[in-house]
Amino acid sequence: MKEGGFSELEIVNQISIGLIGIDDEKKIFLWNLWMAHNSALDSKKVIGKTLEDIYPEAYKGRLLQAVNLAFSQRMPSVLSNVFNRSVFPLYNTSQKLIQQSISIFPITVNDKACCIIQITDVSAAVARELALERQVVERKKAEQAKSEFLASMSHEIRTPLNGVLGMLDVLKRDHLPEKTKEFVNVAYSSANALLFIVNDVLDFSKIEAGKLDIEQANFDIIVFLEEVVQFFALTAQEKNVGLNLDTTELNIRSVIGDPNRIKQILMNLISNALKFTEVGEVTIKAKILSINDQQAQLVCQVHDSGIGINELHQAALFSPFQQADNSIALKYGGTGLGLSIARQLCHLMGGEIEVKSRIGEGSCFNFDIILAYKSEPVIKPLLENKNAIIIGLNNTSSDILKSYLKCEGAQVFSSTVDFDAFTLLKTKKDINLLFLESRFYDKHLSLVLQFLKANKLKIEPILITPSFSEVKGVDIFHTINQPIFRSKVIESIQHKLVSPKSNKFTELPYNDLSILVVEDNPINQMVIKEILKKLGYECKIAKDGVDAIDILQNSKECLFDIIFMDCKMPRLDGFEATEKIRQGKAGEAYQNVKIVALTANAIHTEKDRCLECGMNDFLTKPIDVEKLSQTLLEYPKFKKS
Amino acid sequence: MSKTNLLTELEQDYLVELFNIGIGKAADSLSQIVNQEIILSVPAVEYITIDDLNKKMGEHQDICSVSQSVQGQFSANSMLLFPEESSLEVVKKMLGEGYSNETIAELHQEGFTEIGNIVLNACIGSLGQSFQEEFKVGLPYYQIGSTSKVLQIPEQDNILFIRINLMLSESKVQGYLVFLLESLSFTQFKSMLNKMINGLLT
Repeated sequence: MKEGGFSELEIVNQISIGLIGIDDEKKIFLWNLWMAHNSALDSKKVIGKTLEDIYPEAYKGRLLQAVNLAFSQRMPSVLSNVFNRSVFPLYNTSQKLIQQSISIFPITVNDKACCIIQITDVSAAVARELALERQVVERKKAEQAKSEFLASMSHEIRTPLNGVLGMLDVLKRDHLPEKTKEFVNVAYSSANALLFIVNDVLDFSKIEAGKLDIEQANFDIIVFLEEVVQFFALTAQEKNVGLNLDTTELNIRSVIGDPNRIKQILMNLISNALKFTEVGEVTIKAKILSINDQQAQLVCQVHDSGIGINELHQAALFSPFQQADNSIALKYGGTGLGLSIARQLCHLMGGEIEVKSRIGEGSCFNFDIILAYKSEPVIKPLLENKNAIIIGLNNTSSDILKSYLKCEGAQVFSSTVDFDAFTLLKTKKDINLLFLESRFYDKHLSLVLQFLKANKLKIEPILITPSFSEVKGVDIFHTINQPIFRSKVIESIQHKLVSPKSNKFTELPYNDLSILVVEDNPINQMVIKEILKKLGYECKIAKDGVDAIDILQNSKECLFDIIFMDCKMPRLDGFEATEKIRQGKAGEAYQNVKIVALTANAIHTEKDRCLECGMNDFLTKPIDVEKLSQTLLEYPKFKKS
Repeated sequence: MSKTNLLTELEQDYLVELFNIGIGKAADSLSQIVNQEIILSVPAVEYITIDDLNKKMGEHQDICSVSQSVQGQFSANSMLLFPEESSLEVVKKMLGEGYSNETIAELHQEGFTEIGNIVLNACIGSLGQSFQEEFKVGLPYYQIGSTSKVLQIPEQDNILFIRINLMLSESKVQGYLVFLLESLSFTQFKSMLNKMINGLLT
């Protein structure tokens, strides 16, 4: 057996793994030194016995199977420590149970079928795993605590903010000296900005805690996008940055998804784009690709010609509390949560968000999400065999308008340069539609009139004006505001011009609706009282559910028409109070009274809970005056139904 | 090389039966380890080209494999292949509650090697018993990576491809068992297979 001064047995005894040899009669013929050390059994005591004699407890189950397999079919097995914790009772020098990983394989010794059991000490690895597991658990706990703290903090901050915003809103509508009005406006927009930040933090912590739900609502994607973009029209115009929306490739309109969450992503991207663009334009382009007959992928692109982001910062852009450059917070503000939330929302809606950008050339943010849809009938193009001319407009908006018209089957000629425009107007006859940028119209009124005369006024000139401006000729011509929206273009073509909806807050004449407000917080009581007063309504306040039912029961002479109900209140909360009213506990007259929830908890599940317990409508705090007014105006409709 | 299946319908049926018997035993062993019912089944056996295998595996980013060499009248490399996520899922389900994903990732190699070993042994064992042959079987070897990294196969070789369904705790995971046979070995394998079938028929 000797070879180069070493015997095989010596090698076997030197190595730091356990080896057990079992012969064809299942008797132990090898028990190396490692085994002797850790089992406290000398090889002399063991050799010649069976494994069953020594370890009757261990020699069953997987170990027995594996040994049998090695003998019967000559196949090797492994017994991992993962599934077989400490098969043999082996202890190290510090009397700790050794964690074992075991291999069992057949060998042939002197033409006899034998098998070897090899035992490796994996205690160190197991200890590492345990430490890792502990770390993970601790980290998760810490994350959870952080999320919960953020969520409750933001909730607590929203409540006093409600007071600030509400009062300022009321104040803004008062007849104030110009200077005071300015101050109030600044205070109002600052408070509003604070609300946005708090909402961001709240959303972020909800996503982290996995508590954000995605709604499934039916909506028209084109109208939706137009509303979102319209929101930024004034900011863009004030900054003198072009704002465009291209919905040419949205061939599916009616979709099912969560418009509020998509809006959140889009608002974030568009406001960023406008924030970082001083010159040029911001273009939003959307398309929809059907995946199958039920699902489609919405792809949105927000492209700006702003300052751009270098590659290093692009990578960190979507991590929470990161802004491309820390100095950005100083100049532009923001929490750095927006893009992180946007990315998480995309993930929740089955998509991804990414950025392409170059310093000085602008950035392009791309996101996609999955929406459900129902297929719609194909609509006949409106402008088949019709010709249209576009004069003025920059390249992007002209191209977008052109593609909308082409979608409707028209042939389109366009010109941006004045000289070209003259030629176009002089040479083209047979024109059905004429789109004029208002600046061109102002400058060359006579030429346009001449052209119209030559065509015997058969055509429909449509004026394209900036979002917010006083334009001459508005009474004569149809107008479309910039950004040019597809639905507005189609509306104009169809001659169904509707007078633009006034965004201005209008004071209503005194209304004799009788209103009960159930609200425990004195500041909120004052806010809603003032807002209602502004809207021309009087109200009575109940300080909680018990008080409300009391008041209702004693209101024999003058019945309340509508109840605004806070949800979280002491003694009797809004849900229970509503249930009691519906059960007739406040008198039969009130069993079907209109009850509108007023809550600081803007989550979807809260809304469901309100409607479930019998409320008719749902408004969130801080109170949106327009929405409140709308709710009151809708009252007669409610009464009829 | 033709991409059609080089096994006759009879040969395929026989192999499906054979592997189902073996894999049933493997399922018993696995169930014993984790104290919950695990069901394994072999729905199909095919002999396909490496291109076809790549197509089948192509949809998965990373795959996990446990392989054991088989030497006898024919020589082959047997491999159990699972898409990475599925193999993690199997180990996670087998370990039960109370482990974080991070720990599962740590334990995965050892645990999945044992699972692979049990399944492969069962299948090789069934073949051996059926062919009345004692193979020389190597120890299991774990690999993870892209399909091309895990399946380093000489190009002309065809593959005995066995689909495996694994069901535990209401989830169904699909894996694949592959025998890489050199063409000479395949001829040998087929002739042994036919001997068995003829023996059964007569």
